[in-house]
Amino acid sequence: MNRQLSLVFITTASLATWVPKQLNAASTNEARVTRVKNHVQFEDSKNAARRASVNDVVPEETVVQTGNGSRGELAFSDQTVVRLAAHTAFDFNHGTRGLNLREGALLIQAPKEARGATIRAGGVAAAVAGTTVMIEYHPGVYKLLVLEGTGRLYRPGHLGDSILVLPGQMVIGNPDSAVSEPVDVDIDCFLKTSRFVTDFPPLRSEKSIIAESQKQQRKKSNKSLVDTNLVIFGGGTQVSVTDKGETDTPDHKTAALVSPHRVPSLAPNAAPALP
Amino acid sequence: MKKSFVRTLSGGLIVLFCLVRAVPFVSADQSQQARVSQVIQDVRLMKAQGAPRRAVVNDTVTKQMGVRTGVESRAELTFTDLTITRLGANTIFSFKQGARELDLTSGAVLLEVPPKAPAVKVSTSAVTAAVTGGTALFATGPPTKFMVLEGTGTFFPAGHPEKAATVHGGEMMMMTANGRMTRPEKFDVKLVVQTSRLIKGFPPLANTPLILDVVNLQIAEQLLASINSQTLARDLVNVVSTTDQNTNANPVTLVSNSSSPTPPPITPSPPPITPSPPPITPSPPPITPSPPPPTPTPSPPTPTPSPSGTPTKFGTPSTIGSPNPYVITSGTVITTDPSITTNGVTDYGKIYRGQSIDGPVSMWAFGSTSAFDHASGFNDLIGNNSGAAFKFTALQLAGNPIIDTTNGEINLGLIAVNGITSSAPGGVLSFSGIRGLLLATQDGPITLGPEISFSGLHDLTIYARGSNSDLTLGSDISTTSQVSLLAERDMSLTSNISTDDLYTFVGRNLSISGDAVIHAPTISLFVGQNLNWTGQTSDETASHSNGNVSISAGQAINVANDLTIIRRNGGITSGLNILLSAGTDLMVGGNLSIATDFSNLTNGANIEILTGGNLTVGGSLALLTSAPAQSGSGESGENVTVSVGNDLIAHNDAGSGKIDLEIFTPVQQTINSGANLLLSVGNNLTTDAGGDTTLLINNNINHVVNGANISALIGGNLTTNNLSLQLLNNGGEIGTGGIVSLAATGNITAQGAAIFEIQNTGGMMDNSTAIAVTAGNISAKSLSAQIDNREDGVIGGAGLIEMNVAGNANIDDDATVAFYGSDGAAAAGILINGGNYNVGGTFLTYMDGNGSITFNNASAHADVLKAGVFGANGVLNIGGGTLSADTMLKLYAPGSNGEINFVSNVTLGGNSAKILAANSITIFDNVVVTIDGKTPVDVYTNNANYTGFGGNGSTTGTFAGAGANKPQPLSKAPPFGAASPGNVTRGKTSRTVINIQNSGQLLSLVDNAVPGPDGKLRVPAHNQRQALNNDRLNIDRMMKADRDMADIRRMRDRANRVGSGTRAF
Repeated sequence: MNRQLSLVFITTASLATWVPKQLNAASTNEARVTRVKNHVQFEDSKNAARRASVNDVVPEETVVQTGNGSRGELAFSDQTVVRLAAHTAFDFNHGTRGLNLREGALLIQAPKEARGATIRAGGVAAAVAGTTVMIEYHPGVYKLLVLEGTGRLYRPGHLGDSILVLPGQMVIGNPDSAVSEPVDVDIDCFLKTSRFVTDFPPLRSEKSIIAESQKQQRKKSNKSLVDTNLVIFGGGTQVSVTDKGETDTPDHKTAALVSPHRVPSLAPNAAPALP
Repeated sequence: MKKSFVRTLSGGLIVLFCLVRAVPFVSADQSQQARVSQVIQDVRLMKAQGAPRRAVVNDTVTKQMGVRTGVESRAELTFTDLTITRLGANTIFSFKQGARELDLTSGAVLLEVPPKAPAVKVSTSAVTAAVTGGTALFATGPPTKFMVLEGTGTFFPAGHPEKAATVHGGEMMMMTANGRMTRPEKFDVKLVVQTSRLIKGFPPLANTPLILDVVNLQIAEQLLASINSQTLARDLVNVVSTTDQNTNANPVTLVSNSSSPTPPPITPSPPPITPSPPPITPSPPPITPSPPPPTPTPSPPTPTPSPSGTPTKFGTPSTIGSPNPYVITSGTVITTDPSITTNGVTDYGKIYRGQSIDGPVSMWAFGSTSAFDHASGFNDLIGNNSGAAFKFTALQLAGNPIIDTTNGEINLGLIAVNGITSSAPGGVLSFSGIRGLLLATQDGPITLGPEISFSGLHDLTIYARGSNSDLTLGSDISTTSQVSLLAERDMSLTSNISTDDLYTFVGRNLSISGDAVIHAPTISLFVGQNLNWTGQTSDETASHSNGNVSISAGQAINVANDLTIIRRNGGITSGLNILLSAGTDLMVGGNLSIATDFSNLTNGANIEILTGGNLTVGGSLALLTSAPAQSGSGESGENVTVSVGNDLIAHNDAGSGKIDLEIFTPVQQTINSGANLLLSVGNNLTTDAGGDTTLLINNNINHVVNGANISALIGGNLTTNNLSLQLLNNGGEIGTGGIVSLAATGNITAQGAAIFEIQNTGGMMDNSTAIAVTAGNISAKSLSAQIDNREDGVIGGAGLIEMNVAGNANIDDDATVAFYGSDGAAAAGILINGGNYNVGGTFLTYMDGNGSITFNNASAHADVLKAGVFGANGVLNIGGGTLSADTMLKLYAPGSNGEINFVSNVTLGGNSAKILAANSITIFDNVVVTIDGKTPVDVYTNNANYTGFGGNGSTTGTFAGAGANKPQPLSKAPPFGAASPGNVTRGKTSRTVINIQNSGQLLSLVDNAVPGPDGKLRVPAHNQRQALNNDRLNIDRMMKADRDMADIRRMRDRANRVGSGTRAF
């Protein structure tokens, strides 16, 4: 990164998350570090790895990496916010048009007024605009959860393998396999337990997310959504069949708590494993 | 023609003469010979006359010969009835009556006698041991030792069978130097299996599963004994050195007991089939049997000319010498009366009337029966079936002949002396009207190219006979019933084969490459040396044959890409067994995925992978036997056995190579015996850092009378990501079995979690159950060993968790050893035997009801260390070692009769607060409990049974170091803490966890949920089976076929959802 440019950014961008748009990264192809917890570092092909600090400018193709128990947050000039969980590696090119999750988990809030963002994770991609999503990726598995707005999840190069993911829905799958069906998740539970939320200041889209959560509550009231005893504690794909009351007292150590819901009248799947 | 006829006449006489002589001669001699199937270092064969010579694999040993092994040497002999005899070092051995009576001058032998085989006797000058359907070790002494690993034996002084004592599996007897016989006593079979050079250095024994049954039984008995006695008593006799001798290095020449000159061997050069081909029981092709012979012992047919001048139909076939090669074209007319006409020239063949009349087909067709004829099962393949046969000097197939079966046979044999080839124009050879076709050479190769193909036959047998004969097959084959391919030397397949039952037997190497694809529900590939295979997916449904897949190579099996084998039940009741066996290494370049189906079977659906060397998988090893139709009840099946002589490695470039062995029993059915998961690795087991090792038996809501054991024996180190051994019996029943054990001679290293679990919520275990973990060192991110017997689970015998760590157990996060629902067990215990535990988080040992927790010379350090037994009669025994914590150390037994017993000197260390809380706290006489740090231990008890520090003086035991505060009433004890009874793990460790691969599976889970009393949709704990079954859908770890199936389901779901408007298209 250009040293002069860096100095300019350091002197001008001292506000936290709520920096005015015009004070954000000067280039649309750059992001600015807005929050650092514990160990966050930059890596690129030209320079040695270095620790990240608030207000650092992150140029294209610089890998932002978080360590154990660490968090990071970046802001783009179009107000798109990217939050990094622990053990996450992330880079981008063409601004928010080419966000690339190498491994770990991100929360991305792409404002309506922005150009939209495209996030790639392994062999899948998600296009979002006016959307807040959480995306997680590890070799062989990805997870996309939409908190508000609508996202399109697709597999580049696989025509027709695309799906719209609505608020409160989550898709889990293998990047090398066809996109799977979404499941409904409890937004409220996520908001209460996810460190993407609890460890950071409120998101600009918080009201929209809460509104979606309230929609879910109303659906619960009229029984079109029903709670289940299935929970995913933190990252990964392990679904826990919880004991009674367990989901009511979620473990705050978990990075995310997701409780899937399903309208009970949906026809059960009759496909056998081995006919 | 007349000349030809005369030759036929004389040849027939000679052949018939040999036949009469040969059949009984061969039979008798074969019963009295063995084949050397393995040689390690110096093994000598000795005859009555002549110098001993070095033994090599495949040498024949007859009763006039002896075998001697030298220092550090061993040998294995395989008898024709598959009895195995292994000789230890410095052993001198001979036999008198085939495999049935053996003389042991000195040394040690292992005997494996197949079930239901006659007894085998081993004698020294003083004592005789007999084994009846079992496996035993016998060693000269003194004292002479006889150890039965499984099955039953008898032991008696020589010449006094009336004094025989019965020795059962797991028992041993001895005869001392003064001739006294000891009583049968138990010995540690597991230890012998792990240490005996007669087991470790050899390929797996066929009876290994039976031996492991004995091991599991002993573990259960041992655990029960230790629970009941509240001690760590070991009643088993540890026997290690008995099974191998290293002291008698003096070579001894055995004097043969032969009284007659050494007869010539039957087969001067036996084929190089090594080391032990599986039993050859090819099912005869269902060719219409010929009518029974008019008399049981017909007189040899005397060929005479017929009045018409054509030769008689019977007798051995004469060779049609011209043209050479004889070319069969589309203009050739074959009548099975039998004659063959090409270009206007007619020659005549013969009719073979089956072996009951004409003798073995090899003798009839080739003039002799070779060892390979016998070993390959060729004669049995033809058996008593009749057919017309023509014999040529050489044969070329260039077209589809015209067949006329009027007044003739429907089976046809085309035999060439020197070789069979194909040529253009070729085309599809249907041999219309022929049911079974045999193409065979007497002593020459067979090379068939892609210009011809075979179609429409019921069965086809191709046999390239002769020690230098190869079968090179590039012709596609499609039959309705069976294809049998035999080659005495090498075989190469580059074409497609579609049939119901494929049988191949190759003397040396088999190559399956190019576009070759095998479509056959039943596959048997027996290869003398190496099998090289491109790999394929074999996904078949067995409807008319047993669906067994048996792939066996005497040496290596090398599969270049993925190999996927899936067998489904199309209506059979027995079969669908899958066996891969390599004498040395089994290497798969991609994933090795095997799945078989127990649905509606009474026997079968077993998976076995056996290698004498390494098992290397360039991806994942996934083995699954399940019953997706949720039916299948019967005698036995659903066993998964992986036995690797050396290393087991799962590695790919992505770093995700893993091992996944799973058994899913049916629902609400009964399996009398089976569902055992055995993993035996001679040396190291290694997966990628991103790959897990999973061993799972799911017997939820099902009944297994005997079985459902998980047994993993690792001779070296186990290195993986997450390690999981899980037995689920929620709502199920297990009669005898239900043992989860992992024993690693070296270290266990798990990058992630190490989980050992038995779930028996609402289930029934009629006898004992246990989790037993044994290792040199353990390193893991977290450790969990748990039995969950809640929700009215019942354990009829003992339920025990035993941790045996010789060195260090370094756990980054938490370590939990817990027993939930212990009151549902007749006895319950947790044993921490030895080891230095260093736990970064909380080290919890916990029992919610009655039972005991015992630390036996174990040391542990953790941030928080808690041990609690909460039943009214709960006992916490601390025997030796140091227990220390940085933040909190709590030892609790707060039941109304709860006890904490310090049975030997103990140190409670660390700077943490230390609390002892129990109804009675007893420091045994002369025992000192040393309290490290500056703060005395807080004691809450109603009975302070020790001296000093407020104790009642009832024992001489006392505290030292910082000592103890004056005892306070138990009622004032602080709570155990977050990990209190009923909420010990906050569900993290006790809950059922399902690893899904996609959200579609999550939907399937919810589909199977039912509304609970709280209004939530609940996936009941007992319905995990269905959930997990669905979990197998669409997962890439198992099989492509299932992925395809799931894709179909996904598309159907997608169509449904389009209507709901949630899709964009």
